[in-house]
Amino acid sequence: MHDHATPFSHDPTLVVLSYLVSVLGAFTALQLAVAIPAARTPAQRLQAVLGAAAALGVGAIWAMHFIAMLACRVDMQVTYDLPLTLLSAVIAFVSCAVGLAIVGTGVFNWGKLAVAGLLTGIGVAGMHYTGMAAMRMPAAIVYSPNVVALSVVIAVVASCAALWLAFNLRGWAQMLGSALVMGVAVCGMHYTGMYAARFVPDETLGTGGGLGGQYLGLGIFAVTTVLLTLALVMTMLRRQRRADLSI
Amino acid sequence: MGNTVDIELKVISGHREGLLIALGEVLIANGFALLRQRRANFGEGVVLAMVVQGPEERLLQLEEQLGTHWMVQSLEANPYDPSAPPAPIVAGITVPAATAANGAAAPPVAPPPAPRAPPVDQKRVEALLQQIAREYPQVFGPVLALEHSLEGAQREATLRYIGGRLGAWVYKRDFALGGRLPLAGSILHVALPALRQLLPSAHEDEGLTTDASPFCSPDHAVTAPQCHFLCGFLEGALNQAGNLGTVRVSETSCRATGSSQCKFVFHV
Repeated sequence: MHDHATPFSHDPTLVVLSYLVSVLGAFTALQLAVAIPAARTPAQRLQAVLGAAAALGVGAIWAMHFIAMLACRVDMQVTYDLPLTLLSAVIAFVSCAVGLAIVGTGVFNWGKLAVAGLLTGIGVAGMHYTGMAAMRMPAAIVYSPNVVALSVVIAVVASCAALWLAFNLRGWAQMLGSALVMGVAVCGMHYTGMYAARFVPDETLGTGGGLGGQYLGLGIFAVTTVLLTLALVMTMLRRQRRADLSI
Repeated sequence: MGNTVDIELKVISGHREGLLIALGEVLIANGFALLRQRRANFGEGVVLAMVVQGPEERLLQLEEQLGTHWMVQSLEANPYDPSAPPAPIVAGITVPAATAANGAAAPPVAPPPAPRAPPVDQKRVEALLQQIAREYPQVFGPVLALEHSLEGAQREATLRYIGGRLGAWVYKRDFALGGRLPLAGSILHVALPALRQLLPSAHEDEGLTTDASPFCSPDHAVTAPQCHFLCGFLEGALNQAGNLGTVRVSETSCRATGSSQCKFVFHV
């Protein structure tokens, strides 16, 4: 099947970096998300939901995907369609926002966890395959349906686990454990999805009108810097608040 | 802007002086206004009936804070019916389940017996609280020193109150961020790790156990549980969550009475 597909490989350093970025984004996102239940007003709740969704959808998921795409070595020129690239970020953001709003509202239960995990996992997968559709290259992408389905299952299951850790536990297991597991969800889904893909050369397709990889790199750098700054600031603020709390 | 509710509160207290002012501060802090109040003295105590109005979403928090207030021996909360004739104030002691805000009829729940003696001087208690906050989790030294200086009648109320304030503080510090958990999850993921910050503990049959409580001295011949501070601590931690209703903790077995371990069970 597709014996003439173009082979591709991944740069190990960038693969590791992609996981680290997804963990950083998930850590930042979940630091914001665990404040959703503590919100006292609708405005506070909305702020926490949107902030967490941005960090998770754009930071952990979107940035990780495009670092991984930069890590992907395929023997042809690749550019990225801007509208689809932006749409992929919107898909991740919206699905994560709805999922986090559900699991963070009211008393935590398994039903809410399942719905939120499903939405978040679908957001991860939706972002990935939209991002793949944004690729402009002289090749068509052909997917193995079974492996695609597996990639979605990985995303949903690992998202459920990460959200359970974040909203059910307290302490370091909560913060670090949930971020590491969410990183597995995002990276596991992505690399399984890449395993499902075959790039079949097609000279009728081209790279016209797309963004080059260097622009993506700049965008990813900006997102990652914002995430790191946000994580540091939040950690400092919470540490200060904890020290100032009076009995 | 949420809904406002009118609630009738009946408070039984051993303090006649300063009760209305102290409870008024709690009402104001939660956004409630006092519409009317009646009081009747009995023995050495007082029954205070208040009709208050405030935001529905703050009602549970208000009930928790009033129910665990050091001046309050018993609290009853019901929806206010302006058309009903004022009921005579009687010194009954019932603490309802936390469904008063939605008007649903809830069967009265008999809590563990509430302490009846007034606690010790508030300034001394506040000074102790500041000390144990600084030295946390090394809290037992100062608390035991206070315990030894208290009369039997004061001991339970004071220790329970101090434990409650500490538990609420620990919750806000270490456990406030995360999902709102049901009772079983709160016991496992909040109460147990909070108690483990103080002494070795285990989860057993939906309760918590420990065999290291410093309040159980084998030298004292007692017939009642002695770990009032730990009961208050666990109550304070879980009530601070705000979504469980009013949680009361009782000690069903205590090493001071000869049991092999101290066991704490939770009532909502």
